[in-house]
Amino acid sequence: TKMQFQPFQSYVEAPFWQKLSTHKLENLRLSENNVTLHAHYAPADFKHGKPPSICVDRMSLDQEYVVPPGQFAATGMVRIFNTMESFREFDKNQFLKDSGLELWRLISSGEALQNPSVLSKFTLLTFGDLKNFKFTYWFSFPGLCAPDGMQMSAPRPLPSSWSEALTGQLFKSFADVAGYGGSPGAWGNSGANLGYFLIRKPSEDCGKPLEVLPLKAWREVSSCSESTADEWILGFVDPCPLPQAVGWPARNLVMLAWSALGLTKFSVVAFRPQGGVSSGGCPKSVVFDVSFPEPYESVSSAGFEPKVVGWERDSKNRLAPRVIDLSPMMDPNVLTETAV
Amino acid sequence: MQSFLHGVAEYLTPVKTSSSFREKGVLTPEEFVAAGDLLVLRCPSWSWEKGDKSKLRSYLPEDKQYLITRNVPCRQRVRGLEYNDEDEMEADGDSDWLKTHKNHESEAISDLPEISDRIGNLNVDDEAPKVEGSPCDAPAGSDAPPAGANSSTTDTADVCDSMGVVEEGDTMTLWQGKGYMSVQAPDDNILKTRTYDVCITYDKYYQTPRVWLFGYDEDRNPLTPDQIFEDISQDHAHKTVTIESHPHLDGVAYASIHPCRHAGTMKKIVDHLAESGKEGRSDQYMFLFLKFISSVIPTIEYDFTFQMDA
Repeated sequence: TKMQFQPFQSYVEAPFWQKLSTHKLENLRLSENNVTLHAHYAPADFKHGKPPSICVDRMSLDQEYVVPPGQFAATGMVRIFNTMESFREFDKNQFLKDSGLELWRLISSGEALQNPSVLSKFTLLTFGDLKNFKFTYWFSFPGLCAPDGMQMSAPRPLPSSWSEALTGQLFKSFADVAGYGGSPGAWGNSGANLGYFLIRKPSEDCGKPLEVLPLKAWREVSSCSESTADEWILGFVDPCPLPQAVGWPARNLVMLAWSALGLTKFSVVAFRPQGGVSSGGCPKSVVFDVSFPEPYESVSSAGFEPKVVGWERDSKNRLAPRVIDLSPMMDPNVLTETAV
Repeated sequence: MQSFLHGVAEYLTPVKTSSSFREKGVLTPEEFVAAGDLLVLRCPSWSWEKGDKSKLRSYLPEDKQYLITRNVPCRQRVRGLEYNDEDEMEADGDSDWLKTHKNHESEAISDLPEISDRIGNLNVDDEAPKVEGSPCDAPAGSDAPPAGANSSTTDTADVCDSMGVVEEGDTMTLWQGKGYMSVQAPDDNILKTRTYDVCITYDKYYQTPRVWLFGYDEDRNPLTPDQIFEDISQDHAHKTVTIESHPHLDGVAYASIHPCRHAGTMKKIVDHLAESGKEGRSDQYMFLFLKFISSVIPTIEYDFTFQMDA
């Protein structure tokens, strides 16, 4: 079976559009510049089988955005067009490529290690007919394509690869850094940098516990890891509930491991916490192996640039923008008619 | 329901409770916050929100003005529910305040196939249709040419305008349509489903929580009030549910379940618990309350699982 990445889809809370209108009218006015947008996503939902969703909410334009507890940060941008014509004629192919290559710069330079939420990048292009509460919009989730020859194993259930004790330690270590259960976590409570991490898996007989560390710790731990038999594994919080695939975040993480961390053969854990609080576990997590045909150093000088994919499909799975008509719930005239 | 009450009752330990909670079924703002805190702790899909500054309620903490859970699935309309004795909770005496259906609880993934069977004939085109020759129909592997830049409109959902976007096929991407899917059989159980944002505010007048709903159809368009009423039990639609301005948000209307009878109902639930020798605790109010609300909106699958600490 072939390994695949399940794409994100967008979930926009309706009040966001109202905030966006206000921001456009009062602050941006005629500017069509990119504006930073914050969002969040949830771990895999096994109860309902929800598809992985980047949730843009009414606070997403707020500079002091706080990721809701139990959610994970995605960093993106919105560009609001003044007319439908400028939206239509905007060179979107170039735009996605530029967005992806900007992300690639952050990844390959190692800057993304400091702020891993950029790996869950998204963009939103939109035109709002503000008078009629109608918005045309198109999300993308830039995903970098690995070079030909990169191979990934099919995902294996974590409990079949790891001992029960190790799987339990993984959940506990993560819960500690994430602050599950109410007390502040070691990495803060915001979830901002919790989406991607390093796992130090001790060798079988050394008796040390497993550890979860931030990605940015890589430089220091890798320099001294030769002296131990510990295994270093990459981890990410997986929004995908499927046994045979993993979520979109793995896509850019794999590229980060190859370029910034200099790895050619490594394992990745798609961490799928359940329960969310002290009583939870992660038995549906999966692990997979990745191998690149050559080290990044040998292609970087030749100016390697990854292909970028990631346009969101519409509800019929077509390459097209979506339209949302909020007038039933926003237009005061309509509201007067239905109020009881 | 019997087992739910039992589960709650088992968990309850007699500690001090507010007298007004047990006597009248109402909450103080402090009790509302404590009950909300417990809900958020136990059910991570719920979180606190600040709301708009202009609508700040001073009697609640600034960062705990109301509760929200987003993107809650609603797979079938209320009229699609099959009412039968087995599904209904035994109402206590003459009261009919709990008409709850087992499938709301949706405890396990194994429920999904059954629900999908039932909903089967309600769905239109679960699979993404292939439109021959459409430039937009370009998932993996196709070399579709860009769409004409002079396409006329995108306002109609049926007219597909890719606006010149081309994406080369990418075999690493798992395209499975946009619907919810069964984890067990992802290939053939793609469900398109409505979703809701559900809010709980504190109603100062009635001194109870109050539920607000904002719904979206399969294409992410807001549901009209009439469509929302399809997801509200017939005993309550148009009587206890109205479309009103959200108390903490500017400019957007939500459907609201009117709280005039919440306190009385909660009182009965507490009495019911007391009869079985258990005392209701005010910080567990939200779990009991959401169970009761599920009789009003039986197909909206928000989470109120009462988890036990290990």
